Amino acid sequence: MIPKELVAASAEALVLSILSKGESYGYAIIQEVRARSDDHLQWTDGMLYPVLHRMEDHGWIESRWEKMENGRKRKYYLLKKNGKAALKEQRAQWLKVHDVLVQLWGEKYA
Amino acid sequence: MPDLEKQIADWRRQMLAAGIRTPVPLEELESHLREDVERRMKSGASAREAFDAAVQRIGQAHALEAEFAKVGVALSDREHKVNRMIGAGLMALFYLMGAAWLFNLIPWLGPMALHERLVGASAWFLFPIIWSWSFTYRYLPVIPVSALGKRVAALLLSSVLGFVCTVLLVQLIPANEDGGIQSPYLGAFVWAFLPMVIGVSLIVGLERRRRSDAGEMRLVKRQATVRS
Repeated sequence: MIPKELVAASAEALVLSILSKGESYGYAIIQEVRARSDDHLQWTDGMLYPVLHRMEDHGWIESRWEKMENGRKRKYYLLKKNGKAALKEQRAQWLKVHDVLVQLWGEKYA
Repeated sequence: MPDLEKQIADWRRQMLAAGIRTPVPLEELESHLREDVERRMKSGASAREAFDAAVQRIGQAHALEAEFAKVGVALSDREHKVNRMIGAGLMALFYLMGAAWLFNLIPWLGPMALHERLVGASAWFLFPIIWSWSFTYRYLPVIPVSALGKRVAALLLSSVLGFVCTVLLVQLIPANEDGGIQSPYLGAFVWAFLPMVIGVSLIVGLERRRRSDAGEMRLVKRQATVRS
């Protein structure tokens, strides 16, 4: 299991990356993260929403309510232009961390 | 499923009691909860089991409220809309008053000299300029404390920008026969107040942007703490 600190630190990057493929909603975002990580990345579900609201407040994403066939409502989130820029920046940062680790481990195990 | 509806109603009451009073987060959380319950029931769980597991997964009310409070979700969508409308209305009013002053469109003020109109209009325009920093700071770049060179450069640039704005404004003011500015008050206003406001606004905006960014990092750390 991945430590909670690392999960929390990667939350924004994960959400931005998922929304870059198209609009989505909270439950689906969590399920996608869970599925892609083989259940290794898990967060308390409700904690995603403050992150989404904060990202919306930053102008990275926008949201809209949609009524489903069963009468229930879902709140969909969509990446905005600022969000694409934020994703680009975060992607570069995570890749840099990845590169450094790969270099260090390559040296160690070479 | 009357039992499930009752359980969800109880859960909503717990959330409200914990402080999640605004409709948007609560509606969203409930939508999530229902989706999770439905999915678990499709997998074979009883309504009771599905509900208990979904509630556990969504998190404790007080922890959620603490997280929402940190990101400032204190107002409902309607309240945000009303606030935005009031803000936009006030902004428009200030700009209109500035324009009216500049073009001498306010009848009871009588005819005014150009420099008087400029001073009056500048005063009206300054309020929304200062105010706008509470919104526009988020579009400024983040300059960390460690980047001392960049911070000094931003400080100098902000000051120079203020000075350039002042020079441009002064070009519009008619000079006396001896080449001086007509009013000493106008001189004081233009040379001291205006560049100070523009420069300080930029500096404050940059600092606020940095703190806002640092706040995100704190949020992530707190989030991990609350969940552990």
